[in-house]
Formats: sequence, C-alpha cells, structure tokens
Amino acid sequence: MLTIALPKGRVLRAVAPLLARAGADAQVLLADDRSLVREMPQAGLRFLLLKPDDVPTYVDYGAADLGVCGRDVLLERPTDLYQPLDLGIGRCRMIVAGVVGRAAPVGVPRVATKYPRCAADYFARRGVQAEIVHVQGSVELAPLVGLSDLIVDLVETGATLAQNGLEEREEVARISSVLVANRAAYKLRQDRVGPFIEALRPPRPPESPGDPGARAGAGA
Amino acid sequence: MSDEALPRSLEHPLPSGMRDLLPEEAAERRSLSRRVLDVAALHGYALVTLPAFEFSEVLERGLGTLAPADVLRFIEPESGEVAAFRPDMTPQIARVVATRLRDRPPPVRLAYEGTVLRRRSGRARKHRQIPQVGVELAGVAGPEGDLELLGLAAATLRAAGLARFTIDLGGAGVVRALLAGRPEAEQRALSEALARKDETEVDDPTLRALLALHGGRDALVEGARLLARTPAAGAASALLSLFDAAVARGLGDCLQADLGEVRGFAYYTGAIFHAYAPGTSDAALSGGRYDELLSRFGAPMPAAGLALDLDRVLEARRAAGVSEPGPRRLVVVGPADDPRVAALRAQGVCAVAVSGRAEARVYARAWGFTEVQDRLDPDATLQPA
Repeated sequence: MLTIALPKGRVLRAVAPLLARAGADAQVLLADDRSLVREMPQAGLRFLLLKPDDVPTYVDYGAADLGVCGRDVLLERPTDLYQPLDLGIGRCRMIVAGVVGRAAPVGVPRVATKYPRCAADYFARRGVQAEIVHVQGSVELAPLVGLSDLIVDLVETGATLAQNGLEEREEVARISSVLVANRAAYKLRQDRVGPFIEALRPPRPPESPGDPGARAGAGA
Repeated sequence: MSDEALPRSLEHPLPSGMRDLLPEEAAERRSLSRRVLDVAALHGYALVTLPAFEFSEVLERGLGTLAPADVLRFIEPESGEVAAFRPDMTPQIARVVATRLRDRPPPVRLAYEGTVLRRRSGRARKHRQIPQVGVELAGVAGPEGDLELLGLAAATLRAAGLARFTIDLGGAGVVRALLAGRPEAEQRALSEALARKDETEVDDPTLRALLALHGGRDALVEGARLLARTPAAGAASALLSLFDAAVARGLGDCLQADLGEVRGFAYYTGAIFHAYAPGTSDAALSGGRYDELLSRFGAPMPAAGLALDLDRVLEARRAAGVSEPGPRRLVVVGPADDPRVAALRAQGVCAVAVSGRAEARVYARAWGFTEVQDRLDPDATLQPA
C-alpha cells in the first residue's frame, strides 16, 4: 500500500487525471464527500486530502510515502524531501505587484504576503529593505486600503490583479506542482515508488533532444 | 485526587524539541547504545567522551552536512566567545585526533556516544536533540577504510536487533568530478538539486542521468558505462569496485546503490552511505568519507565515519516488533536489611526490599519489577500485582 498526500482544492482536480494513469480512481478522489482518506485497496493506493501546506509535513514524518505540493509551499518552508518529478500542473508565478500608476515609495516599502519568508528573501537578495506584513488571504486588498505598498502573491492569469487595479512589477519565482517523496520510502520501496513516479511522468517535452542518455538505465 | 486546573507537567515546560526519557525508555536506549558500542569495541574502536559545547569557531570549522542555521549558539560567559552546542560529534573527534592524540600512530579508531543538538528551521521539530552513537576511522584511506565502516554499519544494525535494513551506497567523487571547474555557486546549486533529486533544476544531461541510476549493482554498471568518457570515470568504477568488495564481504543482501545520492556533498569526498529500515522516515545510520576534514584542524589525514541515530533505530525496532526481555528485577517482601536482598545483589540481580506484601506488589508493578519474592523459600515468587 502506498500512501500519498494530496492538497485539497484546485490542484486536486488537476492532479486526479494524472493519478488515474498510475491506477487511482479519479472519481473516488474527486467525490464530493468530506472523507479525508480515500482508499483504493485494489490499486494498493491510499490518498490523504490535506491543506496544501501540510503535505510536506505528512511526507517528512513518513505518515505518507509521497505527496503532491506546490513549489511555493516548499520555498516558504523548505524541507529535506526528494522532489523527483515536476508534475507540470498548477502552474503559476509568484510576483511582486503594486497599485497601477502608483510609484514605489521612497525608503522601506511595506509588503503584504502569504509568503513572508519568500518575500523577505527576495527583497533581501535585491538589497531592498522591506517591511513584511504576514496576511492569510485576500492579499490584493492590502495595497488598496493602505495596509501595504506592494504585495507578493501567486498569479495565474493576472485577472484578479487587474480587477483590483494592481499590476505586476517583478517576478519572484515560477511555481508548479511537484511530487515529493519521503527518503526512506523512496529507498526502501523503490519497487512500488519507482513505477508510480514513472506513470505520472508527463510525456517528454520536445525541447530537450540533446540528452539521449538522460533516462537510460533506471536501476534495478 | 488533585483538583488543580492543569496537569503538573505544564507548570514546568521544556523548550521545544527537548524531552525526558522515563525509566523504561531510558533503559531501552541505554541497552541499545551499549550493544552498538560493544560491537565497535570488538572492532578496536575506543570510546571517548566529548564536551556538550565548544567554541563555535573551532566546532564549526568541521561543520559537516549541516547548515550554519542548524547550530544553537550562545555567548560563553567566561570567555565572552561564541560557543555552540555540538550539532555533530565528528568535528569534535577531528579536533581530538589533531591535537591530543596527535602523537599516537594511525590508524585512529574512536567511538563516541552522546546527544547532539540542532535547530531545524524548516518544518516541525524546531530544536532537536538527537542521541547518537558513532565511530570514526582516521588514517585509513579509500576502499580499505570504507569496507571496514560498511561492515561495521551492518554489524551494529544487526546488534541493534534489526533483521531488515538497507544500506544505500553512493559516492561524492562522481558528482565532484562532473562539477569540477564550474563556479562555486553553480556547484552548490546543482549539488543541492541533485540531493533533492529535482531534475528540473539540473540542466546537464550527464548529471540528470545520475538521478535514474539507483538500485542494485546494475545501476553502478550502467553508471560506469555512461560515465566512461567523462572526468567521473575513475570515481564511477571505484564505486562499483567498492560495491563488489562489500558484497564479497557478505553485505550483498542489504546493499543497494545510488549514483545520484549527494546528500552532504560539500563535506564528503568519497563513499556516502545511509541505512534505512522499515518504520523510519529517514536514515537510521549515516556515514561516509571526509578526507579533507582533518586538514581543517591542521592534521591532514584520510578519515571516514558513521553515526547511528538511536531514536530512529528504536523506531525501526518497534516497527519490526523487536523486543528484548529486560533483566530479572525482584521486590523482596521483608525489612530493608533482609539478607535475601544482599544475596541477590551479590549474584548481580536487582533486588529491593518492601515491608508489606500488598505494597510490594503495587510497587513492583509501578516500577517494572519482574518478580515479588514473599517467603524465605526462594522459589515462592509471585508475579507483580
């Protein structure tokens, strides 16, 4: 039995068809009930539905063998887990945004974000002193009502930014969902984990023809 | 009955990550560390005892796989210098070998036991105390030393009662050779990406190929073939030879290999190995070769070592259902100067006198005694209540 931690919500809908390729029942995964554990005994799979930020914690402690989580979660709270596969879903960008037409303030800008560590690191790397304000949601509101000058947040299309009269200023990071693996599970259960990962692997992108040996000779 | 609002333990909190071991747990851990140290002693490793904290400037010179942020530091009042709680005992051994044991002829075989303290900035487990037993072998270079340690790794895990475990063998030499010549920042970024097995961050096709080269001997054979015309050819074939030599020494049933395993890349110069057992979430034993460590302390000499994380070994033992019967411990119903008590102790048996029969049974049960001896007749023993 493999236990896989999944984030509830948007990414779950995107990852369900991928997991179906590895033998999971997408209908059971997406069933609109409140159960937090979705078992598929025939396939030898068990899924835990968690808050996105909790996925690496479950995998780190070995409560789950594998997990799916966004790079934003891993950037904000780094872990020691293996990240053997980028799933190519949940793509978005972490950006700095401000109010359209309003120049950045002189001195120390105030930045509202759900990602205080990423934001602090980003501004520190650029030699900008910033006051980071940690908020849990509705980040776009902060600059509109004077809580902050800027925000650091995720954008997919930019529609929410535009709706709120905000514009992108800089890109902090590119985000996508990755598969994370517990180290012991990866080493001890390679016979189960290896094929599962391979089944999730997206078809190889055409833009890397120069590495014929890249995936040759997967170990015994 | 108490009518306090809070349980008593909450009145005297401990810092995050610190904990006590109560008698049963402490006895179990002590017995485990003794078994491991006994094995090390049979192989000639002499026990040394090291201080809990040292000057950070000295200790951190030999900081191995840990980030500076993992170290707990404070100002030592006597000297006004920054001191650090040991996050790892290997640099302490390196210091001892380079200074106080400098005049003794190598090889140096030392064993140690103790608790290391680490800050963990990532997820849970904020501060952690990790009970370790480890050994260091200085002055034996290359495969000869690596084989001694691989054999010792298997012997200590077996002595710990684990029947099933896997030793995962890798080598820092392969990746070092492939990264040589690149700017330092690039080397760091690439080795960190490899350590996470994050192929999207690894642009080089040869390096990316390493990520798939894990498993049995086949993976190493394939690696030696793929790397034959690269600067890593020597390191790859050395790793294959080490694997074969270890199998020849009887480690075949627990050994696997991973050419892409570079955890602790900045520290290790040769073999890297981690042992995993069912029921643990990370390695129960880690080790490898760090031939540059002792030169940081002014005594250049090849060195390698390994350490067991006793908590993880105990987790694995519980998962495997290993339990060892404890020693006989008796409560004797009688006065404190009851001659039977002294007689039992003289035979090496734990014995305590309790005057009343009922009290003796209650006491025996509460404190894990195995028997209650009631009458003068030594055979008339009762089970604890």
